[in-house]
Formats: sequence, structure tokens, C-alpha cells
Amino acid sequence: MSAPVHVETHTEDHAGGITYFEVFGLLIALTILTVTISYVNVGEALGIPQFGRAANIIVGLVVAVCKCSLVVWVFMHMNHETRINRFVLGFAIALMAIFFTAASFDFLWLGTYVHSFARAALGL
Amino acid sequence: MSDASQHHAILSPAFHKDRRNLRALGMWLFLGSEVMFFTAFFGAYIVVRSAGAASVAMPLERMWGALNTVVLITSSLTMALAVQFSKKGDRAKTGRYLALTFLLACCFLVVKAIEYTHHFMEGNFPSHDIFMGFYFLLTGFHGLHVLGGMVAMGILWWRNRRGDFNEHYNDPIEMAGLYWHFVDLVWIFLFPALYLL
Amino acid sequence: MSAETVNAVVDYIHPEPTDFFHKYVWSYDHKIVSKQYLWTSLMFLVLGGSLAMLLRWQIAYPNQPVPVWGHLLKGIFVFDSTGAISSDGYLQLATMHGLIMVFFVIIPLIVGAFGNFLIPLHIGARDVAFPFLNALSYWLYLPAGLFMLASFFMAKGAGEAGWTSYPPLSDVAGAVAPVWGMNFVLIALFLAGFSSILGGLNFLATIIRMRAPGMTWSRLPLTTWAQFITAIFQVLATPMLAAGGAMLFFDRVFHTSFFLPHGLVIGQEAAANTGGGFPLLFQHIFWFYAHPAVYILILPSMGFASDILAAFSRKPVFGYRAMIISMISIMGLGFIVWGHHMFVSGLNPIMGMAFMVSTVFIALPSGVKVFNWMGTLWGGAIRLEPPMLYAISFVSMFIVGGLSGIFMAASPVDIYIHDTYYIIAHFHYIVFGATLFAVFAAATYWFPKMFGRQMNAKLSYLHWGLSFLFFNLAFFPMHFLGEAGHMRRLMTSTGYEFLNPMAPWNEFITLSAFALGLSQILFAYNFIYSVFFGPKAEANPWEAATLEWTIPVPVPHYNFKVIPTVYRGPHEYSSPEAAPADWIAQNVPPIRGKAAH
Repeated sequence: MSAPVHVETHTEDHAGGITYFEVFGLLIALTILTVTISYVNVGEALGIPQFGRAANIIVGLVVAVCKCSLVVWVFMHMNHETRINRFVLGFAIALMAIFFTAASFDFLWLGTYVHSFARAALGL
Repeated sequence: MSDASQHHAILSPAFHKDRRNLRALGMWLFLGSEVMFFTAFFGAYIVVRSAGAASVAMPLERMWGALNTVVLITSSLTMALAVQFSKKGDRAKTGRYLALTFLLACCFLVVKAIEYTHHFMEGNFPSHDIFMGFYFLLTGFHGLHVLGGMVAMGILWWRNRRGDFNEHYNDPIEMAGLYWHFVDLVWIFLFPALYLL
Repeated sequence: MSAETVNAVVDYIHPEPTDFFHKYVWSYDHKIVSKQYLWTSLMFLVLGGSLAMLLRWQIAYPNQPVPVWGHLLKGIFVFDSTGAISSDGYLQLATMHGLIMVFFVIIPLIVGAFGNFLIPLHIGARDVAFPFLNALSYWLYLPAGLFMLASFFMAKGAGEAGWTSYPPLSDVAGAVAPVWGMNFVLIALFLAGFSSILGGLNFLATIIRMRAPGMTWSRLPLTTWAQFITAIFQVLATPMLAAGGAMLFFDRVFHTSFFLPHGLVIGQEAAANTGGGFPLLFQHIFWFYAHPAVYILILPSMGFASDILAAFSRKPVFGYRAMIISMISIMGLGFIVWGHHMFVSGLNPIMGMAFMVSTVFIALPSGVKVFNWMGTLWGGAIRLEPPMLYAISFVSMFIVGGLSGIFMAASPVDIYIHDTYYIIAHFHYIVFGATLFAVFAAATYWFPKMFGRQMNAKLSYLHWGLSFLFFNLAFFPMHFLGEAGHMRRLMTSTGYEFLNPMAPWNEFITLSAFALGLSQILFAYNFIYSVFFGPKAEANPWEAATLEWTIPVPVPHYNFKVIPTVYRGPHEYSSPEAAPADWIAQNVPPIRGKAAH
């Protein structure tokens, strides 16, 4: 191995065209946004009062997912990572979703008689 | 392999690149396992909230949580910069940003300590109700992870000062950076889940 | 091929240690770590087996003083003042037998011992990816084991809520149950879980990135594939156990109520905790880990059996690709079947149906593997060496255990047989009949490579015969007991009228179990004697084709003098390329004019 091998160095502070500082700014802005929205009852504000604060949950989670994506993609350099590493994280997130869904099924309908739904669904 | 060629192999950029990729895989696997660890806690929290068992009467001060969020996001930035400068071989800047990250992590824990003290003084112990149980569980384990990250950063700062790292060999800082960003990620979900929603 | 084309990280080897501490205590050599795991888990096997013997005594001879041990230990541990097993003691025995066997025997044996030893050798590497983590994994496991042992010495004894530690029983410290005994169990599980996660990620990184040139995914021995899939389960499922255990610990020590509902009454007193939680939640969290855990318990053994069956049939494994696809399917499905342990716990019936469907589906890949094992044997030039006998009986007992599992998959049937001896029969056929027999196979097969000596074949045959006989005599009747409604974890069946006819069966099972336990002395004697005094073995006594047999014994620190290049699959037996020999190793360059794949 006589010829020098080019070593990848992240000499720029951007990963994929956006600088760390710009990402930082976005994250702070999103934080301010989510805190502000939490003071408002989004369901009523949008004119769907039966949702009420449930709409807050959706908005809050969307913002959190955006912030998460920024951190993973830019700070953690997922855009440069191998497919295997992306798969590892993706698989873990998929398992998380499976667990949330299945566990929720036992608790979302507490106090209701689930069989009636099942029978209705099966056309009995 | 002869001593000389093994020595050569250790120093070659190809070796460093291969070892970095190996360690990155190891760290992503570890982070995958951490995702699953917090999945159980978050999953439990979600089902208890959706069953209506934990009424959130907003016992938490949003501003402390927001402050901690800003602190952690900033520490993520400083950590990313530390990694970037270590890759350029800039020892001084690396050390500076590692120290900054460490200090911001300290701030986080101090704010958390203030919050915990307020809760204890008001009698809001983990046993008080299910919400406080989850609050202490989630923030407690998150805090332990912050502490672990601080230990790692301290060791890295000291090693950097000793001159262990250069533009070829800087994996430990990069791996610690991945871990630290993950700790920030958990808080990004913890904050709305506990304080806002 | 020159060393320059070898991945530089694969070729690196840490320097050989010179002092006792770094050679045998804190070792970065995977071979030494594997032996640490091996000896520790064999000692736990003796302990776990002894606990089972005490259990069986109580079931067959209710409230009779235990001979010898009852007299010696009257009034302490699990014994009451007459020397019989106390009621708390019985539950402790059942709990600790399960916990020790799962976490401190089987997983450390098949993954920690054999996985550690074999993976680098099978892929042509000098060590695992992270030797430091490897050493750490063992030194997390050992303290965890010590915590488990210590729990017996706590006031009110060790954990007694079953190995599954369901709340509320596992959750209410002090009132009726052990306090620090159970807390130590939880700490032990946390440490052991951490050890498992680190070990799993080590093996994953090793297998993904440290394979020798030419060692493609489709040339890996099936042992390595099985360890790969197992490691995925270990890394992604074990954290759920840690989390569930942590929440249980919080409930017990900080009096939170994650798993305790409102209005809980214990022994006519309201529970101290404030409530608001759900016991079913623990079951979801626990079984999300514990179902993949049972695949961790079986997959490596399937890998051992596949490679051993091929080597002693002098044929490649039938359907190598199908074996890989079925293991991947087990991995995918294994994460979505956990609810079948909860069919009678109050699970949403819709989820019950979903889990029933996925559980029935997961039987398919196991069935594929069974047919492939039989296809491997079919028409082979069978060499009935001890490893082969153990491996063949692995297949037959796996079939029995697997078939009973299908009955449980159907929730209407499970409603009847859940928590009966049918379940006990099922999982003992899998964990003992299948996994442990595969461990015996692996131990006798790789003994020459691990210790440079041979085990005594006659003793092995005798051990096999007696174990096979007494195992089946002990556990097969449990299917009938379960169908008749005999509950599990039951201290005295004499309290129930409808169980009285089964008392003779219980006695028969106990006597067979005692004989089974005694037969293991043969293996222990054979193993330990041969390590020190067995006849010296050659490098490849079985004429096997995988990479570990190409290096001399004792295996040098650096494993391979030169990282091998791999040209063919792992089971090239009776290949035309090899003629007139009946096998050719993976690293032999292609013979001119003949095909390799």
C-alpha cells in the first residue's frame, strides 16, 4: 500500500447542503413553535371541538418527528451512513410501532364491549 | 504477520476507516437497542394515558422543560462541532467544544435537580400518582443516560488533551457524538409527551 | 490472495497476554471468554437441575421431608421445619429453576460459550469485533448470577412469582412476598440483559463486517447464520425485559403503580400503592422480550444440529437456502407472536385472533427446517458418532415439542391447556429435548477443537441412551396430565379431587426425572475427565469441512496464521470436486477443471 489512500473527512460543516447552525436554528424554532401551540386547544382553534386536545397530540408528535429527523439525518450523518446502519434504526422503529399498536389495543377500548365491534365487523 | 507489517496495518488510513465503520455499526446497533428500551416506557405511558388513567393536570412547569430542550439541542450542536473539528485534527477546538457539551449537560442535570426538588417539596413523589411515576421513570432513566454521556465526554476530553486523537483516528469522539445525539432525541420526544401534551 | 486484499480490521490481532490476569480473568481472546461462559453456565446447570429435583420430590411425595437435604437444611432456604418443601419454598423453586435455566444456563451456553468460540473461527476472523465488550459481557453475567444466588439468602427467600414474574404477585413487596430476594432477581436480570445486548451486538458486528475474503452470506455455516439471527433478537428484544424489570423495580422500591390497578386488595388489606396501572401491561412488555427469548433458546441449537447432521451424513444440508430463509422468517415473525402467551390473560379478542394467526404461521419455517434435516439424513453415509446421535434425537424431540406448540397456537385450545402440564411438556421438549441435547452434540463435536482432546465415546453413547430414555419417560406423560387438567406450579395435587388419579403418574415422572438427573453425572464425569486426561485429538477428527477444522489444536491466539480465502460452501461432503475424498474444506483453492459454487 504505497499510494496514499484518500480518507473521508467532513471538512465542511454541512452534511448534505445544510449547515449545523442552520439545523440548530430550525430545531430551536420548532421548539418555540411546539411550546406555543401547547397553550392553545388546537381542536377548538381549527373548528373541530370534538377532537379538542387530541389534535394537540397529533401536532406535537408531528413536530417532534420533524426535529428527530433533522437530528438523525444531519447531526448523526445518517445521509452518509451505510444501508445496514439505516436498516438497523429503521427496524427498531418498526418494532416500536408494532409494540405501541398491539399494546394499545388492550387499553383503548377499556370499558367497552369489544366483542360487539368484532361481531359487527364480521357481519354477525 | 510480522511486527512491522502489523504496525503498518494499524497506522494505515484503510485500517482506521474500516475500524471506524465497524464501530459505527456497533454504535447503531446499541442505539437500536436503546430505542427498544425506551419503547417499553413510552408504550406504557401511551397506553396508560389513552386508557384515561393518568390525568395530566399539568403539574409540570413547561418553561423548565423548554429550557432543558434548548440546552440539549445546543449541546447537540456543540457535540457535532466537536466531532467535525476532531476530524480536521484541530485538537484545541475539539477540546473546547467537548467541554462546552459537558457543561451544557451539567446545566441540564442542574435544571432537572431543581425540578425534582420542587416536586419533592410539594409531596409529588413517584408514588403520588401514575403520572408522577412515569415522570420520574422516564426523566430518571433519561438523566442516567445523560450522566453516562457526561462520563464518556469527560474521558474523551482528557484523552484529547493527552493527544490521542488526530484526523485519522477520532472514532471514539464520533461514536460518543452518535450516543449524545440519541440522548437528545429521546428528550425531543420526552418533552412534549410529559410537559406539553 | 495477498494479505492486502484482506479487510485490515480482520487481520489485526491484539497482542497475546502474558500474565495470569489477562490470560484467564479479563481476557480479550474469544476462546477464553467462551470457556469462562462454559464453566460458569455448567455450574448453573447443576444448580438449576437440582432445584428441579427438589420440585419433583414435592410433587410426587407431597409434604414429605426431603431425604438428606431436608434434614441438613431444615428450616432454611426452601425447606420448612420438618425438612419438607415449604409453600413459599415451592414457588421459589419453580421460579428460580426457570430463571436460572433460561438466563444463566441455556443462553450463556449456546450463545456465550459456543457462539463466542465458533463465530470468529467459522467466518475466518481472528477475534470478535469488540473484544473489550466481549470481556465485559462475561463480567456482567457473572455478577448477575451471583445476585441470583444471593437472592436465596435474603429474608423470605428468592423470587417466587414464577419465572415470568407477573404482577401483582411480583409487585407487592413485603406483604406476602420476598422483598430483597425479588429485588436481587430484578437486578440480576438487568445485568444479564445488558450482558446479552452487548454480546449480541458484538456478534452482529463481527458477522456483518469481519468475514474472510470469499466468505459470502451463502457460504456461512448454518451455526453462524443461526447465531446471527439470535443476535438480532438479543439486541432488539432484551431491552424490553430490562425496561419491564426496571418498572417492576420502581413499583416495588419507589411504590409507583405501573402494574397495580386501583382498588387492589392483598390479604384483606388495601394495597399500599396508589394504583392506576395495569397488570396486563407488564405481560405485554415482558412477553415482547420473552417470546424472542425462546427463539434465542432454540435457534443456535438448530444451527449446531444442521452442521453436525451434514458432517455425519457426509452430505450438504438439504435446502441450505431454505434453511436461511426460514431462519429469517422466524426472525421476522418472532417479534409479532408474543400475545400467544396471553390468550387467557384478558387480551383483546381481536388481538388474540391476530396473534393466533401469526403464531400458526411461525410453525411453517420450523417445519421446513425439520423436513430439511430429514432430507439431509436421507441417503447419507451415516456415521453414528456421539454428536450425530445427539443431533438426530434433537430432531425427533424438536418434532414432538413443535407439534404440541401448534395446539397451543390455537387460542380456543390454549384456553383449556394454558398453565397446565401440557405447556410444561411442550417447552421442556424444546429446551431440554431439543436445545440441551444439541448442546451435548455441540460439546462432543467441538470438544477436540476447544480442548485438544477427545471425549470418551462409550460414555457418550451410554449418557445419550439413558438421557433419551429417561427424558421421554419423564416428560411425555406430562402431555396427558395437562390434557387432564393438571395445573402447573401446583404444590400439592392432593388438594384437588380430580387430580387424585394422576398421583401415580406424578410419582412415575419424578422417579424418571431422578434417573435423568443421575444420568447427567456420566456426561459431567466424561467432560471434566477428558478436559484434563482425555486422549489427545488431531486437528480434524471428524473430517469436517468448515474453517475451524483447518487450524491446529490447541488453537493459537491468532486463530489463523493467514486469513483464509473461502472458495465454497460449508458442507462440501461427497462433492464431485473432492473425489476421491468424500469432503473438501472451504479454504482449499478450486481444483483445476472442477466446479465450485
